[in-house]
Amino acid sequence: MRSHRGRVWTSRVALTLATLCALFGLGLLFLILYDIASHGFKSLSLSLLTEDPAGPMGGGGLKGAFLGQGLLTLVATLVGAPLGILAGTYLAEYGRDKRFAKMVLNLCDLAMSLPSIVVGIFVYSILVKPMGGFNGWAGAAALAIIMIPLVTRTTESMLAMVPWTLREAALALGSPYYKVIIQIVYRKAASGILTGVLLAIARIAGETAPLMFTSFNNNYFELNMNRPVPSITVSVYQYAGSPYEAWISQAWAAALVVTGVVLFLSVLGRLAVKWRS
Amino acid sequence: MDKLARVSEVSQTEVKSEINPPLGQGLVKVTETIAKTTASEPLETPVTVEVKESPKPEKAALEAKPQPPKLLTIEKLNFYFGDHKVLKDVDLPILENSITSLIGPSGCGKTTLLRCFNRMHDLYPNNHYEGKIVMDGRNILDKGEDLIWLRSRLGMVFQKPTPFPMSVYDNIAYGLKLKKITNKPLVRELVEKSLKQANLWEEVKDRLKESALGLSGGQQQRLSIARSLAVSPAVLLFDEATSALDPISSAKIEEMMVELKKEVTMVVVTHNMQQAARISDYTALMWLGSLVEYGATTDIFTRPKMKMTEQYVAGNFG
Repeated sequence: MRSHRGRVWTSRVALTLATLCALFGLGLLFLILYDIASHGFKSLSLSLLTEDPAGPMGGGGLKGAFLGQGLLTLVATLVGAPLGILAGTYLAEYGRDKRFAKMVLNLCDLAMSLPSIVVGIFVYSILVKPMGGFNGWAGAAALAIIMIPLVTRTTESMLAMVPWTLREAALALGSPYYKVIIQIVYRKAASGILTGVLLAIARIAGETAPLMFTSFNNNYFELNMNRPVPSITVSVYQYAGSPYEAWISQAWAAALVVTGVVLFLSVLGRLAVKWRS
Repeated sequence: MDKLARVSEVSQTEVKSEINPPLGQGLVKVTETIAKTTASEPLETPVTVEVKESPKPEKAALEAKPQPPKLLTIEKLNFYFGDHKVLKDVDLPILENSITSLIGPSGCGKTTLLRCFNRMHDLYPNNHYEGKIVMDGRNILDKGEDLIWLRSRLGMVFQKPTPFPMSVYDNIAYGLKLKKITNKPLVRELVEKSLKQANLWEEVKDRLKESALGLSGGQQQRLSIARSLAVSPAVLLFDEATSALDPISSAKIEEMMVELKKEVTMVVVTHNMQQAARISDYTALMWLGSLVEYGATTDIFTRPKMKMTEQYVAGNFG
């Protein structure tokens, strides 16, 4: 066995390296946040949220894009969250120990790391091309597809954490299984499932790639889901790539707002766990 | 090695030969020290089995009476996990308004047997029953048995307390809702009654609306019992219900169980020999999936018919 001193030094070196790596990673993160904040705050104004887009000479805002993004996210959540929760319920409750369920769970993990642009192209081929043009439904569908495996996975793991004896206790009282799931298991896992949904919303609220091929963008105020619906992320992409000073600074401001919303949702998701317990 | 060899020899020759010994063979001394029975195995500490002093007159009276009627009769019960036979030809009566203890070393099948009564095994794949458990003239192991009804007739209390994530009141009312009892005054009355039966009312009457998860372990366990009692089952099955609790909490539950005998029949799986001796009227010893001996608790602990029983209750194996 090595000497005490030797081990102390090994420990110190390891600790220092680990701390440096953590600082490096966190430093980059804060650099990004600082960059967005410092540029964004300069051009952040109420008109960004309340006015329609204007020309490249300045003025105007991105009202439609904010509302459009909200609408797309809402529709995606209304479709994706229930589907994900039900799928997670099947995997954790009814499909437990079945080979099929294990396979689905593995595919779920795969789908979670699927590049979002692949989802965008997939939806383009089934919902944009056959329909004859970009539309809001396709955008919402692409976001929902990204969301489903995330919600499924968190729901499954949250339900699996509920002790099995709790279900047995309810069943032993003469409760049918579906009531046990709805009245006991869901209640026990509620905060975890809610967190999963919030984090999934946070994830899709910041997606650009799947929207570029589906809902695309619209310079006009448009909340008709059958037509291209404007979104913040795609607007940021387009404005930031433009040669106009005014658009670029609006892109910074919009990026700041999106980052703020995503951050807020993430924090809310994590707080939800604490509130319940 | 010597011990093992002897035990298996005993099991081959004597297992399940005597079931249902006659009762009322006279009163038993309240405290008896079980003497060492075999010279080859030195006993580390002489085990003293105390049959509690206080319930003595009742107990004596009970034993002098004719045997209470059978509520459940297990006939030639075999149970399999896959191809593995874990219960072997078990024959056992459960007598009404009494406590029957199932004792035996870990893995002997006592919990498996207990979970046959309310068909808990049906929740899992790859197992099957053979034989009968007769209740009210019907075999509750029949394929067509209504398990929801059955489980409301045979309540179960688990090793770990299982409070539902809701208020104390809603925990108790849960089973009533399942039975479609929704009349508010009636529900209130039944909640209070079952909490009183479980000796929990005084401690929780001012916090009925609070989460049940905030109760102590012992209180949570009594809550689980009250919850089972609320649906007025015929039988309560206890699966090592006090083994995770401190002695004071256990004592409260034991006291309550003795009280409850008037209203419900109980089957108790326990590793605690003293507990079996203190609270149960009848005791069954199981070993390797077979019933070794069944009889009045005082007989099992003071003059068992089987050598194996004598050794087990004296702490010589298992």
